[in-house]
Amino acid sequence: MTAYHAIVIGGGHNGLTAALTLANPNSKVLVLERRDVLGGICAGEEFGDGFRTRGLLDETCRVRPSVVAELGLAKHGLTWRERPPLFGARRDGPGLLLGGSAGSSALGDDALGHRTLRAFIETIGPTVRRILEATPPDIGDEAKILPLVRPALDLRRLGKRDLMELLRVAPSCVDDWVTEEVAGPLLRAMLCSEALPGTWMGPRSPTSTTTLLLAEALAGREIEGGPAALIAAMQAAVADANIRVETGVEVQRVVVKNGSVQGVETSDGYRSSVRVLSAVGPKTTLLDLLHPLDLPAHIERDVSDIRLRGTLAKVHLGLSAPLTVGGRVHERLLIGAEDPLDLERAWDHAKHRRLPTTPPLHVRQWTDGDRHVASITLHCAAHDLDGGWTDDARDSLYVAAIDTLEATVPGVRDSIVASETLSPADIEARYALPGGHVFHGELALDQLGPLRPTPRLSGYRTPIPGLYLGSNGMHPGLGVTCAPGFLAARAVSR
Amino acid sequence: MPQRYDAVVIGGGHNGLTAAAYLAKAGREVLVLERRHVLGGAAVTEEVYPGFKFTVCSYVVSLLRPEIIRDLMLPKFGLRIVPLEASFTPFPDGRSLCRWPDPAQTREEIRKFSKKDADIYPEFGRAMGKLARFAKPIIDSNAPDPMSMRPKDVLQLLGFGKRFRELGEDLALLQFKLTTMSAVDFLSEWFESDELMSPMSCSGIIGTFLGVKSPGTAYVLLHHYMGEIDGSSRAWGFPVGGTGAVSEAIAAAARHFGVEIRTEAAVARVRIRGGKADGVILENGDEIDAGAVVSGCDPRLTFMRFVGEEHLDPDFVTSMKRYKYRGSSGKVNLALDRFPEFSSRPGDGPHVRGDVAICPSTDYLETAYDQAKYGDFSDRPYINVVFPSLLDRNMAPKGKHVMSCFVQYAPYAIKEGPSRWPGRREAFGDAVVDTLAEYMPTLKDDILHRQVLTPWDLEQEFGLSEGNIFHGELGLEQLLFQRPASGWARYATPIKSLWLCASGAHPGGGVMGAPGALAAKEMLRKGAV
Repeated sequence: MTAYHAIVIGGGHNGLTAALTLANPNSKVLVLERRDVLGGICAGEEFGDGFRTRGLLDETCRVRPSVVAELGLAKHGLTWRERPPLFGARRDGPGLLLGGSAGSSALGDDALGHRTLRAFIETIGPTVRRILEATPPDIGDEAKILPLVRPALDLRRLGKRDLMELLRVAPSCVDDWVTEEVAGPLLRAMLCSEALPGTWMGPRSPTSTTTLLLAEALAGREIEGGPAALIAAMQAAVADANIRVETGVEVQRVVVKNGSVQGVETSDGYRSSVRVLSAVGPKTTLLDLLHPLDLPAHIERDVSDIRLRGTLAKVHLGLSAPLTVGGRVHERLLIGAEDPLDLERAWDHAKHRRLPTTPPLHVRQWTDGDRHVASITLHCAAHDLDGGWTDDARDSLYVAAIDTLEATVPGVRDSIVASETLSPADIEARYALPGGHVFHGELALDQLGPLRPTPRLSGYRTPIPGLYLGSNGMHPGLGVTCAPGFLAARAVSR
Repeated sequence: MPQRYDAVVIGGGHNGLTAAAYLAKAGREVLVLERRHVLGGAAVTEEVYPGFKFTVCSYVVSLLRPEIIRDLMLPKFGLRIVPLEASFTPFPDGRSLCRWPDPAQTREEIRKFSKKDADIYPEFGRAMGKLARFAKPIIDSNAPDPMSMRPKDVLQLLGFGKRFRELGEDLALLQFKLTTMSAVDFLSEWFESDELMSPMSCSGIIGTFLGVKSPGTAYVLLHHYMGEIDGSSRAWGFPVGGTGAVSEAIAAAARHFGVEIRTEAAVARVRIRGGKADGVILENGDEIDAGAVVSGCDPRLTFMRFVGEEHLDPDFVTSMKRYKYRGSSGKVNLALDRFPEFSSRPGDGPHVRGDVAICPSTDYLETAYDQAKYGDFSDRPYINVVFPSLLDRNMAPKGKHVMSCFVQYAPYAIKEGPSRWPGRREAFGDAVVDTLAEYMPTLKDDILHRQVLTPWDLEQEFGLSEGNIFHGELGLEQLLFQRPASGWARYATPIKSLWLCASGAHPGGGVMGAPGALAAKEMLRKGAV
């Protein structure tokens, strides 16, 4: 039997990044994908009659340009574009356009405060990016002091004033931080909304400022065509590389012999390699794919504590005409969050395992040919909903979302020609994501940086020689970045 | 009466008195000025209704520093603390959980809810004990300064770092989790029964405007284990005579060392000349000269009222305005005709000679918090009850009782506006009594008198800005070297010769006396008095 140079479990964006990074002319890399399509949460999916999404998550603005360059994806058709501004809609009255080329003139009295917040993000940005793009330093018992010195000095270089400000704001709740500088409730809600994806928090939760700072520091240009276009470019690159891809093959066990990795058992047999890189979540990899006896007990305990409470749900709409607010069509909209407390109330529903009544909607819309698609993300649907995600519950979620939309975009109901609702349970089932958590691990202070997913595993290595972790559940873990797959592949090569 | 004191202390609360006593013990001439007619600030016992003594605000001592008890010889001056014997939690369905000083007894109680939890409870206690041993020096020494390059500060930081590493990987991670996670998330890594986690998680929210599921609330769990290292079996105790007796004992010690104390002497301004505080001006116009002014009030009162923005750097003013108070609790004190029994565990036995927590579930606690977020007081609040009359017979007439109820959440900024609290006061009191009556069926018939203190009352009567009992939120961003502002965490202030000595300074709130003692020591070390 052929022994592969390496086997990558999972053909999502991190799996493909890892495979491309590991690829070499001498021996083949194998990618195994459970589904029939590549891309994981970035795969475009058909819904209704011929409408297509661009992936479960819409945002590609955090994909690391350094990784894209390293993999040469531009050669395979990947192009960058400016991230469109975010339009914050109001039920009554004009909305607010933020970011991109929108400038800040429309912000009125809050323009100065908003610039102050942006300036702070810009100031710490380079340092934060350097830290997020590197393998986190080992902080365990065996840790060497030297690797800790660089990030520490990097932080010190910010200067006393900015570092102290960072230490002051990072543990605070995001609403408090933005309220120090800006007053308008809609603008505050728009800023806060960026802090919440991937967390189990609301804008009044302490430490939510940290996720805002990290998410904003990574945000840059986005990929033309969204996540699906990223996958298309990667697939083209894979075709050019010494990589074999098998879809429809589910890995059932990582085979360990004499303490190190030998290969994987799949739904249809066995594949052999002494290097296995898992781009599915660390919790799934270590608790489900390993024989329990292969995993040291203390690691098992650490890993079982990883928190994975998903709150994400999607509504995909096929429309006869684009969503139009105030006579204009915006690509990115925030609807139903005119005050941070609207986000907080929605979070309360998730926290108490209730269906949200007026869920804030993060909307991306685009037109493919003559097809208008609105991709709506909700961050307030509890995976562990009281009573479970029955068909009725899913329908109620859809109704609540459309009611919220209709309140701001009157008449939208009549333009819906196709729809699809994905509850957290649907997302869990379709993408094999425990807890329905698309980040494979909540963003929380104790699950970030050298602590992601746990201190002993943050270096992308595991206690089992030959087994590596490279999913979004690993550092930096802030959505679609491709950084974990890349850094994990680097750990293999070293 | 000297012409000029070495130091004048504004506020005769337990921290002001502690600072004064330490300064006088070192030979300084010290004057304490208290606005009210009684000493103690929020650590006060008052006979509000004839024969019934209320521990009006604070009602237990948590972590009163043993060093202070020793240095100031407080037992000699009448301090006697009775340990609280139990933590009792009744549930609406008639079950109840009581945690005892004896771990074996506690495990038996927990076993009713979860065998697994009962088994792991001792291991949890051991881990927390180790962390408490690590964290304890932090509340007994000046806040570390991460930006300082002075050899002494760097050594202090390295010392912390070294001891952190010595904890080992597992405990170090646990310490980090404890500092950043929510109380419920943290406990969920150990336990499965909500009936156990609910009362345990409460200690994380006391005095804060956060819920048990808000990140950062796990840390205070540790305080319960710090008491054990202090040599007593429980962190919480009840002073004979109420918390006012703590203040009285410290005041007696202070007088013994030569401190002069005046009540009904309200300070209007700190007198600042040439950028230096050199005395205070009283509301009656009297001026008192002093080499140093020590404020036992919170930072807002100190800087915004007594000093005034005009004397301060704009950056400092900004950070003082950003410093969060947001009082979230109120107090209901009841005078009772007889002891009102809990239906789930009748009698006035040892189970009620500690604290009683009304917190039937973590969802209940979180819902109580949610209501406060939107500007309402909780209609079903978290209530921490102590029956002082069971611990000290002299607190109430024979056969009668007093009941101290700490209530959360009562947000200072109710949606009608803070100044409208007086109009909501009785409704708030009713919500508390209605909640309690669900567990104590005869309570409403037993009440003779009721005193309700809202956050507004705490501000107006006790000078606690926004009714915050800890002189400012105990959030991560307002602790250690950031309390009350970065660069000013060591009791000195931007005004020369003006010092802070109360809970708005490191290590913060609770009747522990640490800020008062540390401030005095720092002043002496710096040669400021």
